[in-house]
Amino acid sequence: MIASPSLQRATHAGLRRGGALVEAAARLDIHRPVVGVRAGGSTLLVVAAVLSHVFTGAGIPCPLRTLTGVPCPLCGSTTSVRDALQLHLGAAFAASPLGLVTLVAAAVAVVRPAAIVRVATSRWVLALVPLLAVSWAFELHRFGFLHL
Amino acid sequence: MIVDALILSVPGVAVIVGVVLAGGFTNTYRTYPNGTTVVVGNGNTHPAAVLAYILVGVVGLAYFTFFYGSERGQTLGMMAIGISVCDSATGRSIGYWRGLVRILLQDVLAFICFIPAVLNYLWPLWDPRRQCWHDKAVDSVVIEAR
Repeated sequence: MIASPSLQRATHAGLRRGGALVEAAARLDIHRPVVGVRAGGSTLLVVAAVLSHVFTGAGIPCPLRTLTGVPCPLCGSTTSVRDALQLHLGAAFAASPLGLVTLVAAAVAVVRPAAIVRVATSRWVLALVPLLAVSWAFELHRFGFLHL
Repeated sequence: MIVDALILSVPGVAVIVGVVLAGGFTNTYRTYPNGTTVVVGNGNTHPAAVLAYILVGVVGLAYFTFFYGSERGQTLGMMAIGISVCDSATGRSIGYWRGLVRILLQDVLAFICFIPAVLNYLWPLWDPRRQCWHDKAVDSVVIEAR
């Protein structure tokens, strides 16, 4: 049977599977989550390691905090990671406990990326909500917006 | 993987080198009612600093635009890891213009606020085609290069 020109074109762009045309992208070898997670974790660790040892205090300040003075839940995480990598764990915790959590997560992402993927795609990912809420409360308290 | 990440951090290192070379940074601080003092600015109106930011910004943009848009669709780090970026329908190169938009969107997100920037990078974990928002914007997808 000779396929019609339109079907030929479609088959060329796609893939015939089970009688149905599958989108061409289905043939693309889309990267596995573990590959992305490991790349992200190792990038974070190395960039942080470099930053923590040549940190000059220079950088583009957070627009939100510069404009409003209000910290977000992620506030202090750069400082925290830097301090932790300089082995000032107390200072790191004081800046942002979330920074320490991020550092541990990045290390796990490099060594056991599948574990990160499992957690991120399960209902456990919802634990991020209270985690961020606590972190925000911590930062609001640190900046004097919240009195406990 | 550490080597891969080192390569990926090249633009980051370029930023630091640029900033250090620029010199003359004077941090400005804000002291909160409870005594907490934080850096809110760092003399980035200093001409040398402005020049450094522009230089490293342009170098970073050029680096990613060139490699994303190249025929292989790989930065040096992506080559090391064995991944590449391509058109989500044809699997071909996305070209320089889409490469430029792809890196610009990442930069803009990072500049506006940390939260959407982080969410963008985590998005592939929950996306069926493992795309970040900047991938969706330019119809690209990250594949494992053979």
